[in-house]
Amino acid sequence: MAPPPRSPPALMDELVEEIALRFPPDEPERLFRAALACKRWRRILSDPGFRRRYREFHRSPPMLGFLCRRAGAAVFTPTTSLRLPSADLSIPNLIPMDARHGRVLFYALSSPGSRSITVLVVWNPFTGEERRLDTPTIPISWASSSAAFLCTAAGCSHLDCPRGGPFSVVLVATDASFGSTSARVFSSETGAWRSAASIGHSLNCVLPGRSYLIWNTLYFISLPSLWILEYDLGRQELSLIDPPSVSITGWAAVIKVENGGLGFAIVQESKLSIWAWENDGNVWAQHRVIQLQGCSLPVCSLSSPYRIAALAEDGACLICWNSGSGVFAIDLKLGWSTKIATLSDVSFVIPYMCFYTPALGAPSTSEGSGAGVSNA
Amino acid sequence: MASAGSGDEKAAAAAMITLISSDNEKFEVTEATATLSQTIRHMIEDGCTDGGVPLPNVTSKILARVIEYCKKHATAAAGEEGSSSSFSDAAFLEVDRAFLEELEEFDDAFLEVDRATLFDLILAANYLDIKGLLNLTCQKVADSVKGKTPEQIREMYNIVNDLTPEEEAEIRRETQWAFE
Repeated sequence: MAPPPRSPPALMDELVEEIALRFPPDEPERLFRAALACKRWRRILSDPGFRRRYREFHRSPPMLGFLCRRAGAAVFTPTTSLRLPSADLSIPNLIPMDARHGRVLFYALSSPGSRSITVLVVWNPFTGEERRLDTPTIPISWASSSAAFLCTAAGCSHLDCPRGGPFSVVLVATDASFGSTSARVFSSETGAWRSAASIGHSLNCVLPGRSYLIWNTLYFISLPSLWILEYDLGRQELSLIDPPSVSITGWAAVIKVENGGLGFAIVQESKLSIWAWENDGNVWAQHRVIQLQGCSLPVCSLSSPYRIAALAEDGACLICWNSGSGVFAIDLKLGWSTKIATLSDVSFVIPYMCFYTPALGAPSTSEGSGAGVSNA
Repeated sequence: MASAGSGDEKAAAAAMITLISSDNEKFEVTEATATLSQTIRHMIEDGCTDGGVPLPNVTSKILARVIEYCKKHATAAAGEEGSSSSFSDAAFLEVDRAFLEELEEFDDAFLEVDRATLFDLILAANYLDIKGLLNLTCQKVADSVKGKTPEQIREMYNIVNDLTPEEEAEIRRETQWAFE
């Protein structure tokens, strides 16, 4: 008879850490299951130092799910095994507009068919905490505005933004004549809105949907000309960037290209064109073209084209959906897609990216008990 | 001058180090192979390698495996240095790619060991401070935990569960989704 296999030797704490650091963030259950092996593993994996190293090791928080509007209501759809403790929102008629730094920003309407925003809502999916922000006094339509959420905690790396920490909301809205767009900024510390910038333009309108942050600048899209509306957070200025070509139409998203520069993705029927902004010539250059069928997206009809939004702010990934086929993630570097949900008839798809690590049985800290959430 | 320089390089390339395992077995390796270990690199820099380097924490069985890894990866490192200075055409990139594939195959085969040996390799990689080997072996263990229940993890890694039934029930209740 063969001798029984030798038992593995014990590993020091730092080597248990080395192994657990390599658990993939998009499988949050692996850390929780390992933490249940014994007291020592639970202590190691719940330690705030380990959890910080885990986030720094992986840098990019995983997509835990996405928010969307479906049948007149906002829903959170998980894309990992994680189930939120408080996935239900108490406010009706919400449109998800942005998610960043662990929190989600919604528009609340007075009724499902209403165009006017009655209030903006900041929501923490892990604590269920909701904060309502009154809209600036002028009436604002969801159809001609967009808004971005930003953590403003001092010195925050945005890998672990403090729960309930200070934030600002940037609201860009086009006026009723479609001739100018203004930016207003809400600060959680003053509890008030202030006018920040305004820009005049020919007939155009801000497209509601997820903004994109590169360094200190927020990017929005304006229709029908596909201008990129740029809001510089430092200088508090709005400016417009022309699209790559005047003849281009389709759904578009601002992204970051491989070298970290500004990119522009446009879907036209079955073709996804990526353009890169060249700083030395101040021009767009065609970066690459991806055939959507080539990366295994189902053929779409002209009546239900694919819409896109950037998936993460540090990589070349898009989230893509249409009314019939479902929701997909496209890796632009590899040129392939993954189906992440079979939902149909969704709109306002906003990915939610966040680290989720155990803080089980840990001594009480500022982060509280239960699981630790951190984000970017 | 040129000939003296190349002579020095030859001497450096040929420099041999003796490693001595915990069970007193001696292994002759080139300096290029040995210095993949930061621990040994520092000892060489400090001039403490005369008469061999005793490694009381590593058995001859594990040391032989570690040397096998270092030999392969030292060759890879030398190849990379060469590629940056000489060629950059498509044919050379093709060769480079083939070599990386070969290295990947080597790593995969290298990891085909029982769990106890894998843990011994982690301990040796940590003690000898060989980053690549530590990464490779820890990643293998991390991957092996995929889809495993806490009970299976305990069994795989010889862990005694010392959580009280109450503690365990509380964790499971708080994060039920993780155990479904």
